[in-house]
Amino acid sequence: MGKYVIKRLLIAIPTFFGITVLVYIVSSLAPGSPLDLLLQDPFITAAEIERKRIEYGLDQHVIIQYIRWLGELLQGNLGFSYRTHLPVWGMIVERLGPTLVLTFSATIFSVLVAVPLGIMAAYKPYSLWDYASSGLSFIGSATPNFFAGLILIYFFAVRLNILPIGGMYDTSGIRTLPMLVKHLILPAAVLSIQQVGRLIRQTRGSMLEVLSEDYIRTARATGLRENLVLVRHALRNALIPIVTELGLMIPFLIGGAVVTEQIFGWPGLGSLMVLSITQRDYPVIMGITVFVAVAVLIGNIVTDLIYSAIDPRIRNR
Amino acid sequence: MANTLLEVNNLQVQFSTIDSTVTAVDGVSFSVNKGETLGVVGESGCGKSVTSMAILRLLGKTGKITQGEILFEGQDILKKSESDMCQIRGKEIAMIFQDSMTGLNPVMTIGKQLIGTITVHEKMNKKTAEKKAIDMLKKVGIPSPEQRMNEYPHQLSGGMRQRVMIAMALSCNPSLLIADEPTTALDVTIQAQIIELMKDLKKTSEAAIIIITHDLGVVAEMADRIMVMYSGQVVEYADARSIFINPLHPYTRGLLSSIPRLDKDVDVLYAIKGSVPSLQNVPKGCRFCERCQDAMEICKNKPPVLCTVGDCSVRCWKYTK
Repeated sequence: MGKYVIKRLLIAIPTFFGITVLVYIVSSLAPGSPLDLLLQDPFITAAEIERKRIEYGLDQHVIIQYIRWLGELLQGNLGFSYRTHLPVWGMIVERLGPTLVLTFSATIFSVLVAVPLGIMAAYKPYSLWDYASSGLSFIGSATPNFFAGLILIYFFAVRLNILPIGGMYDTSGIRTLPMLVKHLILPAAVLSIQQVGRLIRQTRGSMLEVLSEDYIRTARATGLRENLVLVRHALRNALIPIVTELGLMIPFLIGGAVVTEQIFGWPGLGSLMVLSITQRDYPVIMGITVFVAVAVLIGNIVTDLIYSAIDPRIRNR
Repeated sequence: MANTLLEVNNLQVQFSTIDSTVTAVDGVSFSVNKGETLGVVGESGCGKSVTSMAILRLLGKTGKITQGEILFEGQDILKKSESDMCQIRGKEIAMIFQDSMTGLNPVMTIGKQLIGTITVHEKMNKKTAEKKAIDMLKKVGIPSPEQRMNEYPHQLSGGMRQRVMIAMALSCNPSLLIADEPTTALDVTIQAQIIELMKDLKKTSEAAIIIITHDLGVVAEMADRIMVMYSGQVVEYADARSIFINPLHPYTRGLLSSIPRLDKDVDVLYAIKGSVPSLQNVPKGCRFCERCQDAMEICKNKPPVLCTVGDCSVRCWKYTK
């Protein structure tokens, strides 16, 4: 087990450097330049732009630029925002909390809804129940977030006026948990719609497969009651692909739901990313990208560790 | 009659798919006495496994018992509720399956699975159940059982896994043990060991055994009586000695001739020509007629009934008067 963890961690090191190279190359290949922002000032002079160019180090070769950036990065310095002149790391940390609140509550809700639905659909395949939950899952995964968001805002915020349109707290300046929950419901529901769709199908599929296995027949033949057969023998085996599906959701969990955060004005990482892209705030764009990529890297290692906790055959490899 | 443990009368099992219904077991009757061993022999697809799954009522969602009765200790199993069935499965009637590779849960330790089986039927604390599980492993000849308890199925060899399956099946002292091809998935040397083990268990426990196999060699060593099945029907049902000494049905003879023999010098191995007819398209007359060496005109048109010849039952026109 210890060996397995160390192996996974060692593989992560070259992956990390690969990520930094990719992020840097893509950022420097992207059209436009950090200096474009300066052009918004009508009185700026060519000499002033040239001075900034040297100050930012943009006159150096791209490899030199990369190495300097990487050196700072390894010391934990993500640079300063061109827009706000604040440290990028601080900006990310400030936005991370709201994002995690939103995405984790959406994911926990999705798991709680989708896994039981998927199990029941697999237990009685081709029943009315199965068709209903499959239908639900197709509609869910086929509905774009912006559309679902607008529909929900229209009904619950505009017509019924029972939930706020957006934001995380209201403008009174008082921050309470009930208020947060009230603001959370709509964006979390929008995010859940797609997740539920994916998870129902995954759970149903893997559960159906497991239920036809011989050891389920063995368990039944020992006189174990059907609900115990499901929980004790089937579920744990069926969890392996479900964990994969959840592992694939990690980038989304950390990076935030860009579109949904934008619609609901949720002050998370996703909306910071959109803002930074439109403002050509390169240090923030690169900072968030590296941060999310590292989070995914760690998330994948955690997923692997969960696998080996569930499945002893992986542990001993 | 008080000695009869299991009596199956005119059992019919059908499987329905979207576009058709097939009869996998068609009018099978037999009985097993206490402590007796019955061998059920036949090719793949003849309905022997389906018969055994019907006894435990574990046919799944597509299979249905459409006719007949299954009396276990005088009570009709088909009339029992599902929760009564859970009391019978594992406790009264236990089963050993063919494939020990896939028959044990891959993510649970051997110990957990054994203890799980024991505590389904017997109320006891974890310590006692664990002790019993270790005892069972010892009984089926597993070396260092304490250590094996914490291992997973993939860490054991095929033979060891099959021993664990047998230990699981015997853990609640069932009065009937159904072994569905218990040696088929194993190496020949391991097969011999498992047969030895089953023979020992037959001596030491009072359980009646139904052993299902396509290998007459396996039942020759163990069975008191033998039932030969073909295409969902019983074609011959007699005590083991007479099956081997004086087989009546041409199919039984074919099966016996198919066993390779070292004491005779033959160039070509005997095989029964053709294959089992599809259950969707059952012949009008005798189901074996197309592959039979002794087929007569009547065999093609009229299905034979089971008739008694001495102590045996046989389904063949040759013996019908």
